[in-house]
Amino acid sequence: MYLFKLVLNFLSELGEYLIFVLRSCISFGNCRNRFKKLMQSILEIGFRCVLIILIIGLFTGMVMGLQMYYTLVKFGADTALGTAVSLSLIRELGPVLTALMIVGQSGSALTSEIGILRNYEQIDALETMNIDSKGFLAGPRIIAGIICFPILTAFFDLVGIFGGYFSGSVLMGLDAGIYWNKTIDSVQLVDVNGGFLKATIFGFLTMGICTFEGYNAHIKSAFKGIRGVTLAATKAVVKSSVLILIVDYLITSFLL
Amino acid sequence: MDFKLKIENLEKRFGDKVILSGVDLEVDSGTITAIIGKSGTGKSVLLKLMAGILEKENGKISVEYGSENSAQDQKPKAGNLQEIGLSYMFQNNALFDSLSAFDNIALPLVESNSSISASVINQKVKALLKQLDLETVGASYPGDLSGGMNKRIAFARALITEPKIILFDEPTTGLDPERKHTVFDMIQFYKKQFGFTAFLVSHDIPEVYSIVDSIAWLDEGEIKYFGTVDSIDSISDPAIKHYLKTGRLSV
Repeated sequence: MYLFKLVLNFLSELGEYLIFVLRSCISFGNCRNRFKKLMQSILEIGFRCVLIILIIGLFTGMVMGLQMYYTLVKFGADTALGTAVSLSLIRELGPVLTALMIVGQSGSALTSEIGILRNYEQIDALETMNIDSKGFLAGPRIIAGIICFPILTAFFDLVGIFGGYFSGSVLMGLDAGIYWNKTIDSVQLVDVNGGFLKATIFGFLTMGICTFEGYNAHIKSAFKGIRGVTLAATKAVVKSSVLILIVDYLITSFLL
Repeated sequence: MDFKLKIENLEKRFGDKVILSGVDLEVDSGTITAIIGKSGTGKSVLLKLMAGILEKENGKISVEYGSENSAQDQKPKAGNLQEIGLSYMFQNNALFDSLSAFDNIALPLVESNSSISASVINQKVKALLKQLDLETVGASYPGDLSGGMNKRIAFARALITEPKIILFDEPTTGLDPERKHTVFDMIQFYKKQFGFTAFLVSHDIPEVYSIVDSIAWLDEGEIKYFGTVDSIDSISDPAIKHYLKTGRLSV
């Protein structure tokens, strides 16, 4: 009985979420000043994450370069370092870690901001002004997520591959020509497309969750006020992070 | 155009808790009605139902024009009063911190689907800033301004669409006695100027009586008294009479 109720609640919330996300995107299409709102959202979600993505990408690539070098060298396969680093980053780690970082940095802020707007009746104020609050607040953020996630993933991949080169070639002494040749030879367009597909889906899903939780902070949380907003932000980050990993597995199993 | 705003048998529940159990009210256009009552009796809920922010369980909110009785029934999803032009001034002003005073006031026009040009919006906002003596703060942000100033910005935002009805949810909360009177005077002054119909939720008894045409006392989910300030004297129950005159329950 408990399990049945749990499944029912999950399905009910999933339905609410999907309706919310679709309505937000459709309403955004009818909004005025769409370009301005979208650019502002890209600034909030994407631009502010560039530095952290570059740092995380660089060190992820460097760690991978080191770990893989020591593993591969045992089997005399250290020349495959470029292949291992680039494919791991482009196919898996790039989209996943980028999405997790954006959710941690921008997603939580987004949920809190919308939750506070809800708390201070600003969302109600929009409705009384005949402004569709979903299109006004959530729509541009979700679209910005779809645009920003693949771009930031590309940054992460490029910097990560460079990080792998730095630790594998510059520090450990692997020939740079071998590293870059192997990288260029092994990466196919299908790998890059697969990574971008994941990033786009992650952007849509996670920004949808973050806006949904913030928008409904007064209903979904057991607490009201500030506590409700912080709980909503926590829920948004946890749900998004778990979903990223589950969806990553599902997409990978379809792509391979 | 003159109209009558009619609320009939309006009901609202939150879960099992009944907030409004059958509110009936009939108000003429161009008047100010104070909605008074104890905290938690559903005064703000009544305003939110009228504004369409909340959905009612039962009842009807309609507008009748002149003698033709062409009622515009409230649809199940509330908000139909917005069709004749409605603004809502929130208790905490609900101004956007990220927008300047000018942009806050312009927001309903900038985001409306009617194609009003930027220059017309600019003119209208500037005129309103001047009328409400806010010219110097147009570029300031709500966080940098005083409570009284923010009230005026919120009022300007409510007026910018030239609404027929304005709902004021405790507009004097948190203000000192002098500023309270300033806000009341402001509502009365601009009501005369713009001719809107106002509903005003307030705990400021009897101060609020100086500007209102009628009083609606909400208690136990119903309107227990509706009439003019003068007619309070004719109430036979001394306890109710005392409450309406002083805002205190005990005689």
